[in-house]
Amino acid sequence: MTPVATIAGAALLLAWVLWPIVRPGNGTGRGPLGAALIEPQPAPTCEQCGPRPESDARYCSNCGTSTGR
Amino acid sequence: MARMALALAPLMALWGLVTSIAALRTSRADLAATAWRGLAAATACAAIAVGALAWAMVTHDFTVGFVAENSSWHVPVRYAAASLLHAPGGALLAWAALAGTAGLASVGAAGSGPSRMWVTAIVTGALVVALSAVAYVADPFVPVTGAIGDGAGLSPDLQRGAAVAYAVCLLVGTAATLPAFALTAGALATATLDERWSRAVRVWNAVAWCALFVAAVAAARWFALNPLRGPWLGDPATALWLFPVAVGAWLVHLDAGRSTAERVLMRVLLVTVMFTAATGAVSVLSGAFVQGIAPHRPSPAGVWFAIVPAGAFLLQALLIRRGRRSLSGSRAVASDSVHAPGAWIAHAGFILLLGAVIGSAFAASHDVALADAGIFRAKDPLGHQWSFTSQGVSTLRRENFGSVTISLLPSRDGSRGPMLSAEARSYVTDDPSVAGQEAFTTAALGNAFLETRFSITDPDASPEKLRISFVPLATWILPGALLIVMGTLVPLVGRPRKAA
Repeated sequence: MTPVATIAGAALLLAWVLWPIVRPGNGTGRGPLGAALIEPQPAPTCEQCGPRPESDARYCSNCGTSTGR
Repeated sequence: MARMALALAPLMALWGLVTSIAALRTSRADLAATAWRGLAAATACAAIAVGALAWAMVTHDFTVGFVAENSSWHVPVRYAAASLLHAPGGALLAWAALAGTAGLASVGAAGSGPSRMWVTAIVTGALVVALSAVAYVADPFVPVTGAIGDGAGLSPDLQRGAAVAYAVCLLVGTAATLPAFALTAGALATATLDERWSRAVRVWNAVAWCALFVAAVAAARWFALNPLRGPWLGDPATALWLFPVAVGAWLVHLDAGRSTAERVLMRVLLVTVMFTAATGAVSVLSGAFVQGIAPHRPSPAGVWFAIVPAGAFLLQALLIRRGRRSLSGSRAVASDSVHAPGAWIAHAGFILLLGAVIGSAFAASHDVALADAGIFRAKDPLGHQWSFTSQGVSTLRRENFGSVTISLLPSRDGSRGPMLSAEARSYVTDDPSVAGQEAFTTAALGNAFLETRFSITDPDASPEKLRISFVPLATWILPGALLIVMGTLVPLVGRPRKAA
């Protein structure tokens, strides 16, 4: 593989890795730098114990019942 | 291209580590996305680099420093994996490629949100250490200056199928402990030690333990058929691997029953100990997975790689110190019922292995010197009468060694068996004035209850000195190991569960 092709491949890889933060429109969100935030999911709710603190729990951390996820 | 890939790999992993930590602190989705891409890019770069190194090994490209130091024209291609994994430049690179691939798979199992970021951070952190050690301390692609006609070669002790199987299984087992550890630390940090974590980590634990266990069996066989190596557990570097195997056995086979916070905490601790013990063993072996009889050359890469087990231990200690909240999801882990068919298969395998261990205590060895057509008679521990008739000495010339071969015609209770041939090898070098390294092979003849082994102990004596051994139940090891692995993997398919 020629040096030019190697450098081009490395540049493409770098561009792919950096794309999420340099893509046009990334600075229009709500984060500290205007970036989009990871959307918090609604709190899981246990029928017996109510809302649970763990955002992605499938089971209640108190009684073990399914949270319906 | 390989050098560019190796130069980029640690930088990509570092980018993944920094951005995943930043994503954890800021909850920014773009940082989370670029962190995952950093991990994928680092893994791809490591895979390209290790692929290029393996190709250089197969094609005997001695302009590559690692190939010139660890291979030669006389080393057959089938032992390329042993060459690759017995020095840190190739071993840690292969580990990084495999562990990165496993890490990418585990990121998906971590779900979304903070636990996914934790897993990305831990996997990229481990890759940063391993890839930096390769790129900056043990660069395998250092070009060789001057004309190089041949490489330094590979220890004859490693030019055996069992040694290759041992090294490859250790590589796979150690790589599979990383996702288990990352998922556990991520779940601990985000208080989501729940059933989803339990299921994901169980699969990785089983894969890792099976690979490490098969490696231990391959090592036992490698030592048994190699007269120069001595007793298997007499080698500290090999015995060291029994620790993660024992911890993994507890984790995979004994960690079942009613779900309690204490049991979940114990599983967290065992996963951590298994990962730190496996990566610690790699570090003690100077960043390699296998070594020959000659003392291993100490390598700074091994010291560098010790950051991985030390960092993992510290991280887990800090997370556990955060108190009850970390374990608050533990009640959501379903209790495990014993998978009856799997347990029966594994128990059967364990009994076979136990039988083989007990049988080895009744082994009997005879040191004899037989002239051409000489006959040696002996009774084995099971009471059968054997006779061995010498068929004389012959010399062989192979691609990587010349050998003195002695053949015996065995007969048990008057019934003739197949010919047994053992070799005393002298591995060739390009320089005729330099004596090649010696190695000995063992011929084995097995039936259901007895393995008869024969090897040369002194090829220079006249007549040559031989050792004939009878080992009861030695042939039970391989089926026993196979049954244990089957019994471990079968429950992963449709494991019955009941709620806590």
